[in-house]
Amino acid sequence: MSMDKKTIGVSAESQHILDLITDKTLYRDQVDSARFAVSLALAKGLEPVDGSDLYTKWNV
Amino acid sequence: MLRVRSLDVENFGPYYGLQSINFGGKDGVIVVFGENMRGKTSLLNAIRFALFGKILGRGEREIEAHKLLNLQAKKEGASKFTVSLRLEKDGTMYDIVRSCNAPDTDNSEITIETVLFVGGEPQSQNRTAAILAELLPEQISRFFLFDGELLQQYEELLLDESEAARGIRESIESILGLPVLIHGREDLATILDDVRRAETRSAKKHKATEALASQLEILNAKLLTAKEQAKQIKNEIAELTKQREETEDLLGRSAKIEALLARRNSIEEDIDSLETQQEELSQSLSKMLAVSWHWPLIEGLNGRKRKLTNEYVELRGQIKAIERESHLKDLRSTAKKESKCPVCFGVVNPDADLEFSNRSAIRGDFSVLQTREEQVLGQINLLNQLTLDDHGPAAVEVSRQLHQLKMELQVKRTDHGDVMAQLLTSPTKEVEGARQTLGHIIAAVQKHKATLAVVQKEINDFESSIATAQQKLRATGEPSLSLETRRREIVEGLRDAFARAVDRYRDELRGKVEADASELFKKLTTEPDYERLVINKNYGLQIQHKDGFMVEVRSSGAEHIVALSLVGALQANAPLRGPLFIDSPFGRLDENHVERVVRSLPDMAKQVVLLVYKKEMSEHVARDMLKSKLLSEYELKRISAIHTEIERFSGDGL
Amino acid sequence: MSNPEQEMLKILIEEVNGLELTNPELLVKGILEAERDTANAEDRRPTHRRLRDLIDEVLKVEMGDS
Repeated sequence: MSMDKKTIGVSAESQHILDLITDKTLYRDQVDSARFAVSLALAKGLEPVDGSDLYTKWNV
Repeated sequence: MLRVRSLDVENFGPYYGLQSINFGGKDGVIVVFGENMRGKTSLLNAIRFALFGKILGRGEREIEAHKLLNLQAKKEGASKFTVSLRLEKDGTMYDIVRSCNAPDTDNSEITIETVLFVGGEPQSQNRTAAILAELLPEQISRFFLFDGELLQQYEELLLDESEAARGIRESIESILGLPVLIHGREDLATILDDVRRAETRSAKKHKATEALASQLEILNAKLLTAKEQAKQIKNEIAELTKQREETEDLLGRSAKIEALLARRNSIEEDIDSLETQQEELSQSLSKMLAVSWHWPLIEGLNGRKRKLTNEYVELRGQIKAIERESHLKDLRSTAKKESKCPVCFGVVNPDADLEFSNRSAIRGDFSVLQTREEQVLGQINLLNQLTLDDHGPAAVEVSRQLHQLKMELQVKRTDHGDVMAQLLTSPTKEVEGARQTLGHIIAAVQKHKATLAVVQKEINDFESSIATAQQKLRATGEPSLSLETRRREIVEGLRDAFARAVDRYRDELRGKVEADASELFKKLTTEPDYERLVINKNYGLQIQHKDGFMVEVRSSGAEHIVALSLVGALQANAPLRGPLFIDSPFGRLDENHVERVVRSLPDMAKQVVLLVYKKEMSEHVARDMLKSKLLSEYELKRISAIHTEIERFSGDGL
Repeated sequence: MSNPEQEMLKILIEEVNGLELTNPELLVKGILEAERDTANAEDRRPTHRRLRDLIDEVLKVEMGDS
């Protein structure tokens, strides 16, 4: 396995989506909704995007 | 026939600006669709305001007119609303324009102005009030402006002793034209008193009849006094009855307050319970959502786990094979060295060709396999730690339950709001002492009634004595009396004829109302075992089963049907034919009944305006049932909570 | 005239039968009309005057002009 991630970053657009999902559902913590988003992307085989406009949200 | 031609409302209720409905001049049905709180009842109130200067709220309580100023208009600084109603009667147009101006919050500044045009000619203020009272008397307006939400008042008709029943009976008899006969009887009775006195005065002028005349004079005077006394007692009874109604109304509201409080408590308990369930389900759902990231990956990861498990099994197999091979090699080596089998201790030929493989090569493969096995096992254990259970369907179910709870809570909170609003306007303090007051009033009424009975008997005795004296007077054959006597005989005869006619007409009308209501009821009901309707003296209608018994307990649906049957029958038997506005007529009726009611509407009145919401009656029902009788359809469109617009969306059959 | 009004008239004509009037229908119609016209009037005196005039017309016919 390559390096485990130590930080998770989000773009401004992603943050907006996280706000919406957390508001409309019962995700207690945005990290849970972020995990869901990542696993959904993995399951759908989506390609990672350019991470240059990310800012660190979580240390994991 | 009285017909509504058009209604214009400006800044009235939810109607911002000028909004209009054109009812046209043809027979048929107009449907106005509007969801709750969009302004259906406000349309009825607009007509009431135009005709009577009154606006009614829930439970027929009068609301101060200025409160109906449209809030959007008020925000923009407007202080006035106007209602214009055009009516047609026997070819003459009546245009009523009534406006209410409330310039500021000081109630003393509120003014209501009314202008009436008859055939285009403006009328004086005095004439206006009289003309409007005759056009559609307020007392009978409830049978033309029918509010489906006030059905319980028709149930009162079944309670013979209720004061409300008496009031409604008077309204019904008013619409049926009975007051004409009752007034005739009373006016002729008053004239009779004068005519008798005239006859007596004339008789006094002649010696032959002087004594009789004096006797008659005394009797007439006593009769007049007794009648005055009876009139006074009746007025006092009426006043006490009014006080009784007000007190009972207050107590009714007290009972209502108790019921409201009980209801409030029950609703609050329900809300608590629902909120607890909601919290539990939310927590459960949140827990499921915390591991929801498994769900998209479950299939993939389970597949990976299966693959890894298979690989592990294969590796294990290979490793075991290598270990076995290695062990066998050790055994062969020992056997060769010791010339005996280490297992069975049998003799081994030292020259036998035993297999000997390259251990280090086996070891090299073996360590690769072992390493791989470790890796695979490690990944499998990692995946096992994830406990990949698919809670997705369960989470969806919990989410659905939460949504359902949210809806139920919303309904309960709305109910709670309603109950609290009613409680806050209830006069809880005034209820104290009302019961005692009621007791006093009832006792006073009973006492007055007993006195009245005594006075009435005196009146009958005097009348009888007067009749005897008059017969004697006639028997004298005094020619100069003949005109006065004949006049008295005619007036007396007319008075008695009107008195009998009142009873006959009332009975015949009641019979006709019963027959017409029964006929209509049979068209409206889907229950084949209901034979007919039976009327009581208050025009209350009971349902008679084909087996002869009366249906005692009626659902609100049945109540609706009976009330509609009564309204239709009254329209058919009233001298005044007018339009029928029905607000929320269907209530809890099922689709079958709704269709039957709609189909029968043209039979109930020539001009019908239906105010409904779409769940109560869908558009296709009106079109299918009424066909060419459906003149047009309107919709009350929500622009905002304080702005409704009236839009016609079909029909020009006006 | 509406049906209910016709019915009312019919009943009254039957009831005044015993008075032996020459034209009971005319008298009764006149009384009903007066009552309808003044249905909401609180002061009944004009109504009484109208009724008395109607009755006096009947008497004039019955007894001849005096």
